[in-house]
Amino acid sequence: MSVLLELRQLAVSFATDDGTVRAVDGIDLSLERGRTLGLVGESGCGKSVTSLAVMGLLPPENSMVKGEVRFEGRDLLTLGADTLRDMRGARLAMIFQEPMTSLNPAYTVGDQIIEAIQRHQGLSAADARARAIEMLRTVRISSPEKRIDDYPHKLSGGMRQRAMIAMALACGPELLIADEPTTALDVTIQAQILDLMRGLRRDTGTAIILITHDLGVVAEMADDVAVMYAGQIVERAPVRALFARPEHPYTVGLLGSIPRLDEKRERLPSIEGRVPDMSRPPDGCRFAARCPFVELACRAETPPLVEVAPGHLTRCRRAPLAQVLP
Amino acid sequence: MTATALPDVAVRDASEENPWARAWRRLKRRKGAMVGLAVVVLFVLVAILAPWVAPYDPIATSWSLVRKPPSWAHWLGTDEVGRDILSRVIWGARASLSAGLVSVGIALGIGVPLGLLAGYAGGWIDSVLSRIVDAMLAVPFLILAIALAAFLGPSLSNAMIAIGVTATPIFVRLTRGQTLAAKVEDYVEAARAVGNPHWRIALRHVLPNIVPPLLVQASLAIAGAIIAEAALSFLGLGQQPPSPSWGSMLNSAQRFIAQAPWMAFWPGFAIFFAVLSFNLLGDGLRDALDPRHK
Repeated sequence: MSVLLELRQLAVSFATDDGTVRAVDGIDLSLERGRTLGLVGESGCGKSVTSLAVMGLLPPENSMVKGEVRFEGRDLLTLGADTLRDMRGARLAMIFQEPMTSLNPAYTVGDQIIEAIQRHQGLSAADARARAIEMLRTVRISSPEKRIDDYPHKLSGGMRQRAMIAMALACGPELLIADEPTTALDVTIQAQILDLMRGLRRDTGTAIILITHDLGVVAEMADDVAVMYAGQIVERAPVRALFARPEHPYTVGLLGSIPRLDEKRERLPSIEGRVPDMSRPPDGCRFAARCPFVELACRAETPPLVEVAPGHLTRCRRAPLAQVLP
Repeated sequence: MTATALPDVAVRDASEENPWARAWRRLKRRKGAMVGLAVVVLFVLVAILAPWVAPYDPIATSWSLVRKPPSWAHWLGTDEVGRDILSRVIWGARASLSAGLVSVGIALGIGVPLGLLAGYAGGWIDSVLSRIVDAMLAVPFLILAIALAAFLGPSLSNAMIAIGVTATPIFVRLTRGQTLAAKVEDYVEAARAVGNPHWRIALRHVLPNIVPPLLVQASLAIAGAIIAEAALSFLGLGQQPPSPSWGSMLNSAQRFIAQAPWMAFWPGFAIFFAVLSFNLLGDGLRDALDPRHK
C-alpha cells in the first residue's frame, strides 16, 4: 500500500485577542490508500483544525499553518490557491458534523451535487444530473429521481448526511475527511450511516480520516487510530492494539469513560480536570495535570512519541503502562 | 400523477415547493401585506397607463378653470392655472414611483455588491468601505439627498441619483452584516470543500440566502424614496414644472391652502397611500420571509 497523505510537523496557530493559540502543535501522521484513520480526542483538542488544515479551509486572515501536508508526495501547503481549489472536491473531500445546516437551503439537493460534479468533471447538465441521481442511489436514498429536486428542508438529518456523502464522493476523491459525521444523528441513523460509509470504502477504495470523540465509532470503522490531546498526538496505534493495550493515560481515561452494558457502575468514571489553555500550554507533558500516573519528571519536558510495540507509539514517559496500571 | 383526482387533491405535495413559493404562500395569508400589494400594483398600473387613464392633459392650462373645486368634469378639482388635478396626480405617480424604484435600484446596484465584497473579503477592504458608510450614515438622509440633488442640478433624474446614492450606505451595511453571518454557515464551508471559487461562493451560495432581508429593506426604502422625491420636488430640486409630481403639486398648493385645499389634499393623499402600501408590503414580506415564523 502506498502512502496517500502524510502530515509532517503540522502546526496551526490562531491569532486571537488573548495571544497566539497553538491549536495544533507538530503533528506527524500518515495514511495509506484505502485505509481509515480514526482521529480521536475531546472538543478543542485540534482534530477539526487538523482536518481543515489538510483541506486548506482555515481562514487565512488569522491562522498560521506550518509544516507539511503531503498528498501523493506534493505539499499542499505550498500549492497555489487555484490548484488546491481544483483538488478540493475532486481528490480531497469532506463531510461535516451538522447535516441540518451543511446543505444550502436556497437550492435543491440535486443542484448542489450537480454543482460539485460540473465543477470538476466538466459534464453536460444532463450527464451531471444522471451522475447525481446515481450517487444518491449509491448512498441508498430511495427514489433518487424525485429526491434530487427536493429542497434540503424536506429531508431528515440522516437523508441530508447521505446527500452530503453523495456530494463528497461524486467526483471519486482519494481522501474523504469525515468530521464527526454521525454525532448529530440518532443512534439508529448513526449505525446506518457508518454502515454506508463502510460499504462505500470497500467499493471505492477511498481513504478516510474519521474525526470523532466516539471510540465506539472508531472501533467499528478505523484501521488505525491517532489520539489527540491539546494539539498533539499522544498515542497512535492499529485499532486492535489501542483497544487491547492503551499506552497513554489519556487513552486509558477515554476508554474508561465509555458506558458498558456488561458492567454495573454507579457513575461513569471521568477524566478529572480540563484541557490546558492553548495560548499558554504547560511545560512538560500536557496531560500531566490530569494524569493519575504523573511523576515529577513528566512536568519537566514534553515527552517524545516513542514506539512501545510495532506501529504503536505513545507520548508517555511511563509507558508501557502495564507496569503502572493496577 | 395519474388522472384520478383524489391523491392529487388530498396530498398537496409540498416537497417540490421552493423557498419562494413557500414565502408567497405565507405572504398571501397576511391581509395587510396583500392590501399593500394590491395598492402598489394599482399605483404601478396607473403610472404605466397614465396616458390612457388620465382624463385630461396634465399640463394643459385653462384660465377659465383656475382653482375650481371638485366637480363632475374635474373629479378632484383644478389648480391655480386650471390644470386637472386628477390627471396631474395620475401622471405624478409616474414621477414618484419611478423615483422610488429607480433610486432604490441604484442603491441596490451599488450597495449590494459593495456590501457583499466588504463582508466576504473582510480585511482592509471591509474597513475602508465600512468607514465610508459610517461617514455617510452620520449625515441625515434628507440633508444629504438635498445637498447631492442641489449639486447635480434640479431635474427628476438627478433627484433619483441623489436619493439612490444617499440610500446606498444602508444597503452596504445590511448586505455586509448578512454576508458576515451567512459566510460562516456550514453550507458555505461545504461549498468551499467541494472546490468552488470565491466569486461563485459569494454570488451563488451567500447572495441567495441574504435576499430576503434585502427585499424587505428595499420595499421599505421605496417608501422612503417616494417621500424623499416628494420633498425634493417640493423644494424645486426634483421634477421640474410644468411636469407633474406629487411633491411639486404640494409646493404650488401651499400658497392656496385656505382657498383651494383640494390642491394639497389629493397629492398628499397619494403620497400617503403609496408610502403606506409599500410599508405594509415590506412588513408582510418581513414576516413571510422570516424563517422563524411558521
